[in-house]
Amino acid sequence: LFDKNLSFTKLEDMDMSDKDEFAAKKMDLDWRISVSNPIVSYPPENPMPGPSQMMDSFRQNLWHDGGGFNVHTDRGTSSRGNVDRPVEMGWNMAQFPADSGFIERAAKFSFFGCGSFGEMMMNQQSLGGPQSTGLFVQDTQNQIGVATGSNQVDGPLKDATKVVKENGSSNVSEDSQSSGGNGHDDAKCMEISSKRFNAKKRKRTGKDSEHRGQQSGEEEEEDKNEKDEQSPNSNANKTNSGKQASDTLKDGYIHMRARRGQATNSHSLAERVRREKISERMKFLQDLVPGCDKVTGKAVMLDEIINYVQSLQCQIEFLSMKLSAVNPVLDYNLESLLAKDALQVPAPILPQDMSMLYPPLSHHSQKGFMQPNISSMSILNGGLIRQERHGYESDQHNVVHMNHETDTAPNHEDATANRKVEP
Amino acid sequence: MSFIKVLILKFSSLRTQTMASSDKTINTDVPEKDVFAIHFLQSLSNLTTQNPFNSPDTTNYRARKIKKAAYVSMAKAAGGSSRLWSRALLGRAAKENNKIVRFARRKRKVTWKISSKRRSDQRAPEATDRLRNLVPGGGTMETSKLMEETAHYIKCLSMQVKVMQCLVDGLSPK
Repeated sequence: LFDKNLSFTKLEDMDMSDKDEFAAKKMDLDWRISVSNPIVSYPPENPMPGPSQMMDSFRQNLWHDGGGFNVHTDRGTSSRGNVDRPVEMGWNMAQFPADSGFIERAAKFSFFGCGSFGEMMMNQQSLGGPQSTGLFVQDTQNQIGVATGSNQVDGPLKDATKVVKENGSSNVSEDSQSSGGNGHDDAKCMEISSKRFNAKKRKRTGKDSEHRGQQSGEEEEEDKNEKDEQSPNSNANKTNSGKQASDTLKDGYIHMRARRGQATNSHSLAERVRREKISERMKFLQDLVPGCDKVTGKAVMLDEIINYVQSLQCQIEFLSMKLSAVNPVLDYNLESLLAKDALQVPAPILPQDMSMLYPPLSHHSQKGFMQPNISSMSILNGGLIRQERHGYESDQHNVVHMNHETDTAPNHEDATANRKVEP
Repeated sequence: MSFIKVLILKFSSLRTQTMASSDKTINTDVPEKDVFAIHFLQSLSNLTTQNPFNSPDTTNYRARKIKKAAYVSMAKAAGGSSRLWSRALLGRAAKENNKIVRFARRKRKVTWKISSKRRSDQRAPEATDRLRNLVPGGGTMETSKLMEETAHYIKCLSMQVKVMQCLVDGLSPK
């Protein structure tokens, strides 16, 4: 089984440096693992009776810890059976400490039910595959909206993903570095990494793809609802690679995720929602700013946006300088253009112009009230309008609008115009 | 007089290129260019009536006035007080003129943003901070709100630029 292989590689990779410490922690982990087993063994697949017992107790603990987990268990997809394997791996994992950071996280395990399991899973993942880490990092860089809405990184998260990137080939050492960093960052990274993890696992699972699909959909919903639960899990693994993890691992992680993170429920949830909102808006801005289709990533996008806004403001300044140069000309036109009095042209003057204007206007009587406005405009401009352009007709609309300052204006003009137009 | 027609023509051509927001959740609809044009021309006429002599002290002074008028008219055209940035712009302009402008303001609850700013004051100047400096009123907005305002602001800015460009083209001597 793949899981078995994974655990095998884990054993190879592990450093036995802090085994003693770990053994102490292991006890906590063990019973937790055992608790989760019963859920997993819904389709009983558990090859190892030992872990299953642990899972049982673990599951009970989990249920005790939070109700979210129950939601998971009720689903009972066959993929759950795979949790056994991650459990095993967790079991194996418990035997070797990844790094000092892991120890910290292991310490946290004693406080939380399922988070430890997830972290263990994540740690396994990180230890297992440098290449997959790279791939995973790739995915985090690219936007995949399977589980996380936001692949963009905030400040702290950015650092975390950078660490992930650097982790290309080395897992443990990087882990320790990253774990040394902000726990919050870890949480976020973990979230994203786990999401990727889950996403990949969903895609890769051969069997029960439907179940997976359902569960992935549910998971996504849960992700939104229970993102907080992920955050403690995320502490363990920034370099988690989805490729290597089995689907069972993913499922196990999901369970863990649901349980863990009760403490930071509202915080991480809000954080996730907030980040997703921001990324959504960034996408919207991307469409707005010209030439930003290829750009991906929040930082570069923001720079582009800032440049664009600055350029627009500079353009306005430049154009205003230009306008000030032509201002003398403008004055006359503006006054004639916008003088409201002009709209109320005295009657004797009007008919003459109206007679001249009427033929072209009648062709395009788009709106009844346009004509008087145009006539007033023509009067203002000495009747030169009609001679001017071929596109005159299309201008009527604009002229009318330009003269309209309020909604009531058209009505007023209409009335006055009608009185004037009809002799 | 012909340039007025030119102006009108340009505005008509502008009219055909109205921008519309099609986003479902984020509404960044911007009025058509005519609205911007009207507001801008009105403000310009106000400017010229204020200075009956067609040559104020320096062209630079006049340019600055026109720029201010452009921003104020853009803020008005873009929806007065329905946008945070327009409100901030108009408030800023009113303060410069020593006028007090009162908007119907929603009560501003202390956002996460403020508390987080306190917490991490030593953050490196992020791009979002730069954006806040650029967009009027962006100092105390949440980032998501800032993005919305930026989008609307960008739309209005480009609209105003087009209007002014047409005006300049229409009024520049052939």
